[in-house]
Amino acid sequence: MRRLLRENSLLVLAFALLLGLAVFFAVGAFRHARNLDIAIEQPVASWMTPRYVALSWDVPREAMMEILGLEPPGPGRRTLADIAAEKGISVEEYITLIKAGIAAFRAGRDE
Amino acid sequence: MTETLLALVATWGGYAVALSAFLSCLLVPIPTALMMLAGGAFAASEDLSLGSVLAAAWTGAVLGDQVGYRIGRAFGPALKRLAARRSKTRAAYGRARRMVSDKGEYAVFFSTWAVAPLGPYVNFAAGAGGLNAWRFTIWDALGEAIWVGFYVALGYAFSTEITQLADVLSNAVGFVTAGAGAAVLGWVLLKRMRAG
Repeated sequence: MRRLLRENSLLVLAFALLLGLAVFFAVGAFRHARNLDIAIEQPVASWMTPRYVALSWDVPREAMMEILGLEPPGPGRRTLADIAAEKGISVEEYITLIKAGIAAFRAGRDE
Repeated sequence: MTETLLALVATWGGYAVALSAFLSCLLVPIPTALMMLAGGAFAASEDLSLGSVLAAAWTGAVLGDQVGYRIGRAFGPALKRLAARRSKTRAAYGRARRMVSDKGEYAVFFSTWAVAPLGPYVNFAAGAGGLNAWRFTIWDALGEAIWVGFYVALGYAFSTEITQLADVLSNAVGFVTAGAGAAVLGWVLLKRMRAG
């Protein structure tokens, strides 16, 4: 056994290293998998499109366009960052407005 | 970084996914998995068509693999000359070359999806080792269809949480790749132990 380790020291080292990496990645996968929750809405972000926000937050498209201050059927595949720039406001401001709009829409729907 | 890449998919659609898949087959470190997930998610929100995302990612990946294979072919003779300098490396290189030209397509197939991080190296080795171009292309195209279909379908199904899903998947891919490497080395060690 000892002779085997001595003669193949590089191979044994690489084997141990790969095994360690496999464990590291397995732990990482489980840790991230625990955070997966289909029910949680993805925070509104600058890369999203109007339709994607509507899908993620379960808001009908027409209502979403109203919240976004856009004419239906909407601008298609444009990011919120692009639309905010066109409106002359910062994307952070725009996202704050969108969040408030979604909250107001939901409050109205639940009444 | 993530936000920029996702914005690229939103703006450029299939072109961004295709370019990303192409470059990552040539060892450029781009998270193409995330790009394909995003493509699937934008298909779910009807910003892109599912067919165009699938076609774009597959085309980019297959073309990238072809370039890697061609580079391997171009470097093959130089590697052979280098190996021929010593009798020991010449014999080893000859064995490796025979293995690649006889059974290389299986390695190509699995390196496109099961152990995707190894893909670029396998393509290069397939080219250098003289694997027949048609056999390479057919098995590569089949494997890439699995890789692309898997990620785009997941992005479509779990469209509202692709960034979290990308974290899980990249770790899972790391686990499978490192685990496969450990299994191969463990097998070699076991054989040597038995041979005593």
